[in-house]
Amino acid sequence: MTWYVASLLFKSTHSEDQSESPPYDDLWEDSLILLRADTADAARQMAVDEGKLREVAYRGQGDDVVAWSFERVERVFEVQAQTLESGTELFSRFLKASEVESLLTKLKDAEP
Amino acid sequence: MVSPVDSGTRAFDAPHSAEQTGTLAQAAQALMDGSRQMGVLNAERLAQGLAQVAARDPGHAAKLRAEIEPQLAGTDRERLARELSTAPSQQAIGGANSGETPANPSQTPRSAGSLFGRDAAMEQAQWFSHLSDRAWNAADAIRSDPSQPNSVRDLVSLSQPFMAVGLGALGMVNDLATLVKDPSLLVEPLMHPADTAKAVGKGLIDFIANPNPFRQGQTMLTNFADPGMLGAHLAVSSSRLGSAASGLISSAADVDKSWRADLARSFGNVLDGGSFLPGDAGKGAGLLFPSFKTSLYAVPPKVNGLELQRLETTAADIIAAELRGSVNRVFPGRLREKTLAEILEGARNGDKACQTARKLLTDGRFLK
Repeated sequence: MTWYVASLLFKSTHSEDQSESPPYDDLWEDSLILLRADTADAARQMAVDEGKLREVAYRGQGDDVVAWSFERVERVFEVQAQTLESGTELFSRFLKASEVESLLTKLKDAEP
Repeated sequence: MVSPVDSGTRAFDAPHSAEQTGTLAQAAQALMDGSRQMGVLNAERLAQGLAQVAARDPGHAAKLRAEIEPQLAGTDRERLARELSTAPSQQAIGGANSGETPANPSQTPRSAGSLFGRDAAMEQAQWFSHLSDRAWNAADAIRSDPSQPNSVRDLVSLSQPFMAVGLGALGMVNDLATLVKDPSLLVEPLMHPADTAKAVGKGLIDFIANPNPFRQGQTMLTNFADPGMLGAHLAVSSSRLGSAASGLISSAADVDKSWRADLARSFGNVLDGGSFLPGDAGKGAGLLFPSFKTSLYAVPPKVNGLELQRLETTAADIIAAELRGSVNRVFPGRLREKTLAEILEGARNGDKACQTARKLLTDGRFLK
């Protein structure tokens, strides 16, 4: 059995018409989960199952219903260690400069 | 002398293991040893131990009782029979005296001499121990409960010195009264030095492990009439004072991170009146000694790295003060007026909306 870390992407959608609100982008969530599986394919399937389980909807502002839907498994990363301990690398990805810039930017309120 | 610091010990834990590995006589002896307080056999504890055994194995309990009863003094034997008559498993425990015991002792007229003697003294000492424990446990539970309003926690915190003095004085009266009821208790610890040493050891462990300084103070007051225990308590307290002094010296170079600054802030808040002042000027009264690092604090200043004050703030207030307004668009409406502590608790319990709310409140990308 091997440890894997899967990156799951969730997208938020709203029930209410937001046309009168500032033009917000829909918010996404990148969630990393730890999995124990025999193969990367098995880990990916586990990640899909887990993603579906994590879908949630609730009432936000007023009557607006916010739904977080599971979109896809972005990637599965194999952990190169049998035992998890302080310092173990759990996830790694390479990024372009523009992606880094985006990640380091705070989520701004959209201008009306 | 019966010491309240020993009241939290579980008298009948030891016999369980002994029953599994030893003989009947050893199990009986262990049950009796575990029922002693400062060397004095406590018939109520002994009865409780037998009742527990009976709940698992009635036949074994009856054999244990038959083994124990011949070793008991007359008064202890009578007291044991009386206690067992009220135990839920009394029918199964058996014993020589079980048939002679009234079904309901409360219907038995109290004898003229029942106010004095060993049983009366032990009963009184136990009553005081229960009272003291329940009072302090209740106070500590309220003080360390972030869900309680600040004013309630402040009130309980500020009442602790009075609790300590009141219960300490009552404890001294209790000690004296037990001596009046049965003067032989004065020499009892000397007659059972091993048991006494064991009880003192347990008392010291309880004392050291207890984080509430006022409770410790009450214990010292209560044991005024118990020179051995008082001496041990003073030694522990002295070592704590030494530790506190070294903390003060070592913190002089870094005041902002020292307990001295925390302590000063606490005292300042207490003097300010804690949460009783308008405008919530000073919330420290509920956090008396918040970072006194020599273990004297009862309420942790931080929980999982989060400031306690932030934990007690509602999500709506945190968003308004710290986060960008766009968070409101995806934040669960029903959780807006919940505190961060309540949301974290919900998240831990698997509430998905709470889990999302927790992430939104703690993700640095939403910061203003």
